[in-house]
Amino acid sequence: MTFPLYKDPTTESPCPRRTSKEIRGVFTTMRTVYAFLTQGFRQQAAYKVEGWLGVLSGLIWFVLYAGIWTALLRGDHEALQRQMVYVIANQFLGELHFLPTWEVSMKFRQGDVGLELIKPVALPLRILADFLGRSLFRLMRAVPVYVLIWVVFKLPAPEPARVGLFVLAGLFAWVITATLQVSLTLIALWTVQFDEAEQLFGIANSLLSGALIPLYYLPGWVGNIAKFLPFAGIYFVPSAILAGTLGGAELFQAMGLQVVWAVVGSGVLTAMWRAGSTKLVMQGG
Amino acid sequence: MRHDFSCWWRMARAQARSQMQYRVNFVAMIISMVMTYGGQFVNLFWLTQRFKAVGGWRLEEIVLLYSLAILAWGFAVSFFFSLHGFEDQVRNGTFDRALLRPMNPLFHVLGSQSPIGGLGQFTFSILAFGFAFHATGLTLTPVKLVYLVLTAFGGGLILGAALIGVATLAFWTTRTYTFYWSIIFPARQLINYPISIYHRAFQLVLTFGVPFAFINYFPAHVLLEKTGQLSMPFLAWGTPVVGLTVIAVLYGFWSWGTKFYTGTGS
Repeated sequence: MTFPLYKDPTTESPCPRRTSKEIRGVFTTMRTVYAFLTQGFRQQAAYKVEGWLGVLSGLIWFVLYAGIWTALLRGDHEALQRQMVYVIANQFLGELHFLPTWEVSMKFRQGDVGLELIKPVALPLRILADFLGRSLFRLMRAVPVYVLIWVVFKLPAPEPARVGLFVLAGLFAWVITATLQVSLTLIALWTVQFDEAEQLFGIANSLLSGALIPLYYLPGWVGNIAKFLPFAGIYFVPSAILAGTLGGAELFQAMGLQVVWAVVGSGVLTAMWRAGSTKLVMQGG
Repeated sequence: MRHDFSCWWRMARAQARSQMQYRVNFVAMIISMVMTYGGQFVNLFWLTQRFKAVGGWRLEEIVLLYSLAILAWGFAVSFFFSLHGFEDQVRNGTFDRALLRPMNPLFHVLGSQSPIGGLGQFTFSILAFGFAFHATGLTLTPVKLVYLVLTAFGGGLILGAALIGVATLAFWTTRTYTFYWSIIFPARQLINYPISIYHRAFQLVLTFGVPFAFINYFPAHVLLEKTGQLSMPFLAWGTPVVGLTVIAVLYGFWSWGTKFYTGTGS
């Protein structure tokens, strides 16, 4: 079953000058996106047990990472303190990067996606808004827990400028990982089952993003390559900024690359959605 | 009991046959498993390249820990993993069927999966064992081999008990996937490293609370011939006993839990 090309009035502008109607269209889209974001936030808040389990889960991961780095950097107090900040920053990012793409795959597999196509705001935009809303709730839960850990571990207070840059880089990080991962999920528009792509992304991410090992602790050649890959922008760049191990020209280069990858990710997602929604093979069609 | 086992065996064999109809899928699953674990190995390799050892454990020793954990998980995946999706059976009411048949309902649930699901785990752990034994220069004596098999069996039971525990929660809540992914999965990752690197409180929890340390930490001391380093060396021999004990306890929990099953109709 093939669907006609779905035209989004905000992106498929026939003439370069925007009429007032189109501008209204942009506002409508933004309002809808905002609605989905708050909806996601509230939805996450509704699952109380799941919320607390998430906090507990984060703490188990924290025990793991804190244990590893305490064992590795036992002799170097300052490096250990920096690394603990890095680990805490990663915990925040971990909550932010919660992307339940399997729910979307399920929609594709069960054919519910057909209904998605008739809605007036593009599916990826709604998915992203919903995911971000849910992540923000998880983050809100996690922040007090790790601020408490920060204080208990007597870690030095971060400079306000670093916190600001961390928030900004964290936002870029989310755009990179969210657009790329949702793009991988959209492969399902062409083939029904292709989990392997997401799995490969996960493996590369676990090795090259700094989720476990900051790039400067990787073997030199790996670190040098990883620096330029999109994965570095997902965990390493924001966390190293907060830990104070990324500064000066390097910081600007790293954040510049983050922006580049965020744009690339968004471009890939848009292109895939445009091409894929005309191609969709439906289960049972 | 014998009847239950033979029923389970028939069901499981049929499941294996059906899984083998999708050969490409099956091979892809094995490859992707090996690659996922391989990724963790690379992380560990890079860490030890930079820092030499983690808490006094060298790369090959941690790989031994890791392969023991994956081996036990392979057993758990082969025989108990259907419990991971058990919440669906409760939510859809299909668990009714298990209760109506003339066999133990738990065995019926366990029989709803293929018993060769852990092949990816076995493949990886054999490769990792090969590496660890080669690099440490230890030899695998017949005694150690028997010990290894018994330990993997015990470890599989410990993880199986954890899966039974999570599945049983489905009688009260229908979101048990979250319990597995939030608690059991990260707890399993804790034992990929020697538990001596964690705070003492967590070591106690992993020994006497959720006894995952028996899966690999204590047994690794036997295989590496350094039980002398343990404060309680006899624990190193306890895995099969601990496995049987926890599975018995969790089976009791499960049996009690089934009384709360209400089906989905009226």
